[in-house]
Amino acid sequence: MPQYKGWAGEILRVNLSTGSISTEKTAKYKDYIGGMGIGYRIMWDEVPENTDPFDEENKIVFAAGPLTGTGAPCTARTNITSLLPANPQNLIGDSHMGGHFSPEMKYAGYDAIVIEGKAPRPVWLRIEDGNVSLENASKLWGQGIFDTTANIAGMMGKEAQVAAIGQAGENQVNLSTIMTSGNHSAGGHGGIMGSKNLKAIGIVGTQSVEYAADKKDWIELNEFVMSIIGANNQHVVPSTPQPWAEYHDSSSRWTAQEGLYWGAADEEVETGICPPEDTNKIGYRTMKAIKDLGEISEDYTVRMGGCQSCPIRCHSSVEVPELEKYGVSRYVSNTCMGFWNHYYVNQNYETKKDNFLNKTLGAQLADDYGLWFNYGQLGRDLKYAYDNGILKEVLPAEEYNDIPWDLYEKGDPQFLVDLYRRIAYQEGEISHLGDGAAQLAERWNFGEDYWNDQTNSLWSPLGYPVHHANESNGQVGSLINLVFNRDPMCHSHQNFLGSGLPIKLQKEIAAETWGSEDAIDVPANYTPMNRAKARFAKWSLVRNVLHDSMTVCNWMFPMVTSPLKERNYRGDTTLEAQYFSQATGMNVSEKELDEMGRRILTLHRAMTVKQMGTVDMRNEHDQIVDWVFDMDPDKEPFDAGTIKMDRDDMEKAKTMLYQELGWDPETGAPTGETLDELGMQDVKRELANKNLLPYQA
Amino acid sequence: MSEEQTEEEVLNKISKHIRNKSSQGNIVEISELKAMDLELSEEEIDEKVEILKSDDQFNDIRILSGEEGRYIFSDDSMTKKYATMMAKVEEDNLKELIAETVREDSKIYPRPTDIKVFKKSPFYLEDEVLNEVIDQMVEEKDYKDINKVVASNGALYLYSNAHMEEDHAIGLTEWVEVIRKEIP
Repeated sequence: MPQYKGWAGEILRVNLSTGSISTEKTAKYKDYIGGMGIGYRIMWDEVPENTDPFDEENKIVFAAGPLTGTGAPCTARTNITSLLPANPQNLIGDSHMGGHFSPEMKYAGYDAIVIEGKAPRPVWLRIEDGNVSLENASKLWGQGIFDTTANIAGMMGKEAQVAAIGQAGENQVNLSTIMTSGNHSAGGHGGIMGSKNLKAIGIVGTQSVEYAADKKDWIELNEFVMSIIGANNQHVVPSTPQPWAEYHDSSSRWTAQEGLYWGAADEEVETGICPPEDTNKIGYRTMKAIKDLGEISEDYTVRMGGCQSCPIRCHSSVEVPELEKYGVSRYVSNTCMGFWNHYYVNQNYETKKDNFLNKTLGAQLADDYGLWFNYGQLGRDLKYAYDNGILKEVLPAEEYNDIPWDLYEKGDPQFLVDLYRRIAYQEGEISHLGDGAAQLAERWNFGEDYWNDQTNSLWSPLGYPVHHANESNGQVGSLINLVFNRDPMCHSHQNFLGSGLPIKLQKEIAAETWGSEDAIDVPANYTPMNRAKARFAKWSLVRNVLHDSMTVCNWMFPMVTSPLKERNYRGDTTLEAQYFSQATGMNVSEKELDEMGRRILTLHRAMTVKQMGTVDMRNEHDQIVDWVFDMDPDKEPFDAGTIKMDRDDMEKAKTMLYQELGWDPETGAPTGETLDELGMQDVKRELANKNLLPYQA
Repeated sequence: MSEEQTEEEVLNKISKHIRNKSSQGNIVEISELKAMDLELSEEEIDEKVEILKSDDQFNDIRILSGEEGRYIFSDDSMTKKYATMMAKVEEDNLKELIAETVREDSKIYPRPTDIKVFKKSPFYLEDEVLNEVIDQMVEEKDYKDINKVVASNGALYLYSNAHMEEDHAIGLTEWVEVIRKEIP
């Protein structure tokens, strides 16, 4: 793409079966931007619909977009696309990681790495700018992610960025991760690398990523973003009352306050008061440790870390000496579900300290094995199977008796040491907890109650759980949870809803952004579906795929709000288009960029239609389990105090979303007209040939 | 006022003090100005305060009347809302502090108020004190709109039924305290 900047310009393709290493131009994927868009396009073009995830014919694409490596804030995301082993129909999906991997990939000269085939023996991929080789990984095979990363860095130099799998990935556990920097994990595709005998990718890049804009304009844009950026999740009010703030919200991740310390730093660091204009203190705003690990974590927090080129430090680095008695390092880093997953596994803990140890020990073990937890579902599946006596039925007696259930019943952290080893090494029947919820439910013959019990938190018959769904603005979150083939890692809506601003301001902003203040409801006091909610849901989805294609962190963008009273707390929804234009030199408006996002989202849906062999997405794919409609039996949907949904209203919501996206309102499949409009005639032709366009039948 | 000290110097000294205190999160009770080394009578201090109120170069300086005293702050670094809360803390008027916070939360968000907010910066109320005040409030006529609601994990929240229905408060408390935290 010589006339455009931002992109590195080349894609690296490695065939593990033949050992062939080649490059191709990124230019042909320009309409799909990068990251997720490139991943979907390659999978659509090159992977036949009946491919098994662990087949040699499957491919895996590591990709970034034009913003990554430019130094724009919050742009170090890596998007990984392949078939999803944990999806019962192995539909296409993405996993994502932060860290420093994708900027290094860009600095080495590549927008994406396409891995295909299967190596005859374990290998790792070594990339040093244009010098690319497959290396013998026989000594790395069997090692955890931490040692693998350290060994590769030892060979390549400390500046190397490594993405690796652990034993779980090697053993093709469906729920396994690919991890970089030892704590940034992409959940769901570790087994794909394992199936290809690819242990890791190590990269050293010494080039640069150019942006097209005038330097002064670029700096001005970056400084503007620094002025309106909030805390993690773009929360724009502090969590406690503070002199500078009109508002506060205890749920806010703007935790900086007097008396809150990184207590295990060499010298205690007080997070203190960090008013918006003090941009040098942005890194102190979020002390995620106390959100994920409880207030007890203050004394254990060494510092907050995060990704390349991001001022928000959302990863907690803690030092927990007690972990050494479990045989692991005392130093742990992670964030969000990286810690919370282990709460769900070991919920019977007795003290807050035990919960803290469960979360930190669990993170340490799981990150080394490369285990994924399906957004906490693995723990809930274990609890369901145990509480209902199913494990006694499905596990051989010898195996059942060998598992330390006494530790499980006490919520003892030691239980995790035993359980995670079994899953990662696929030891015995219990290891099928790593299959994914849908496969596990079928294998262990879970009843309807499994799906319909609210406490199990399942959302879809495809086996993924709630992820900012009906609890996040009713129909809007619910629609967002329907579209992908795994839990949606979409925070476009959630960041806005959780900004911490009062409802009046939120409604004003909603009216300006989605055409009506009716786009949002008072939390837990919902109103029936309306067109503005459909626009909000569409916008959230489109921005989500844009971010994963550009590649921008969807935990910070879009910045609909800001902490600035003088802006009346408005953010700026044009930032993505401004950055895209300045980075690439393509002059793209907000509307035009959103259309590019719609194209990428529509390709995802087309791929899903092709893989499932049906256009009836409404009934075959976009399904919600019953508890969402049957919870709170004493209340009706739209009563105050419930997040219960109404079945007919939800069908109406689907229709409206399909219309907004230009998909068939009846089936939810992309129409031929929309595919034409989006310049996807080849996709239209292929679907038509397979009789998979709406109205064809 | 000593002859060496001009009025401008005095005003600058006072405003600097107020601004410094505000930037540290503190309000200034007007009587506190007497303790400054200004060599001013009580009447002269009141005079200076009046000038601060009206002079454009001090248009960030705000006066706030509490139940017991008058307070000054700079709205360059402190919001009126925060200053009002701090005045109540200064006067140990914890019932009004809690009631106003709860009523505003219930009205403008709406949300129930997590009582933990009063245990942290800038209030730092001890459990015993806080619980006692809340127990007294729910029995008093002036605070009859203030109600308790408990999440499934035992966390105590307050809401005002002048602005929020009980069912909504119960549902929201669970949403804020449990559901939202477990889906990070």
